[in-house]
Amino acid sequence: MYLAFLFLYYIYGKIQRMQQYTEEELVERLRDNTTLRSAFTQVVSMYSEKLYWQIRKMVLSHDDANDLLQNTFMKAWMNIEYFRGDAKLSTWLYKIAINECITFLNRQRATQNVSMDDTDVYLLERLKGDEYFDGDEAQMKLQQAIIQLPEKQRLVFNLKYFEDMKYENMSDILGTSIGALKASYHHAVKKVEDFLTKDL
Amino acid sequence: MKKGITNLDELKGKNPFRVPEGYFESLTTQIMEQLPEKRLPEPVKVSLVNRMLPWVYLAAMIAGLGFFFKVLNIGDENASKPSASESFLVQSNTPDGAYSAIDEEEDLDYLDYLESQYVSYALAEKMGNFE
Repeated sequence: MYLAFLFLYYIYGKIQRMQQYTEEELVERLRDNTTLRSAFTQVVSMYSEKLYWQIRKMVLSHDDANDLLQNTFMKAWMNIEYFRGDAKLSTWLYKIAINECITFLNRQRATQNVSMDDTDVYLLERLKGDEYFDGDEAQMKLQQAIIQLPEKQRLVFNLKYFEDMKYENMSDILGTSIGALKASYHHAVKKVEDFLTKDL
Repeated sequence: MKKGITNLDELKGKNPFRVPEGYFESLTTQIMEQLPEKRLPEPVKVSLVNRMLPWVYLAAMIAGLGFFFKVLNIGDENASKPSASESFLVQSNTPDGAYSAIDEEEDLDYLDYLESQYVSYALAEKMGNFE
């Protein structure tokens, strides 16, 4: 009985250690040509869904989110040798994804001839026409409220409200102090609530 | 007031976005298929000579500086050689305890004594002249 307990404890410790070093091992495998592709496949399967939702919340349309996700992993793949392992792999991928989103939205604004301060009406139009959005009136209004936020506040709001991301992680991704992020989120929540209660 | 629209907490956790059927199941394969073949750049091998070069430069620089200061020192040595007049100087040594042995009071008494001795000597000389 005692031996069985010791054996189970040993196995538990092994599993714990394996889980702890997974990211480090993955990074090591990404630096080796023989294991590079299989390691990157693991990276894609680990982070693709999370990144997809983050991108989707920013650009709203499924087709755009899918394209941007492909671009994100393409950029990560082409620049994998520059990932030094100083930050987490997820942080690095989030940064690439967010840059892709911002570039995409700026390009959209330029083609639609919309200024930064104007509400991104075209995003809302795309959302209304998106067959993969089936939110009710309240959800549509929430999205409308989020769309009218400035870009940085929208990012912070999405990361905190939908993903419940810690401010520390957010700070690493966005390169902004925790205090500033808290303030941004506070302002964003206030604006969204004001928008939601405006017509009532 | 319409309940459910104003409260952010009530809306939280509900995802109105959908994805096509089986999208996430095939996503990894779909992404990986689009990635081109890639080989990481081989790390540049640095030869032993190239690795030693900075140390060789450093050693040469230290040697050069050493030589430079050595040359300066030779100049100083020439400057510090005694001149012709200085060679006639005689060195005199005062015993270490000579000054410390005389304290202030003794010094004054001794001066008084010397003065009185000088006065008596001078008087004796004068008197002798008269005689």
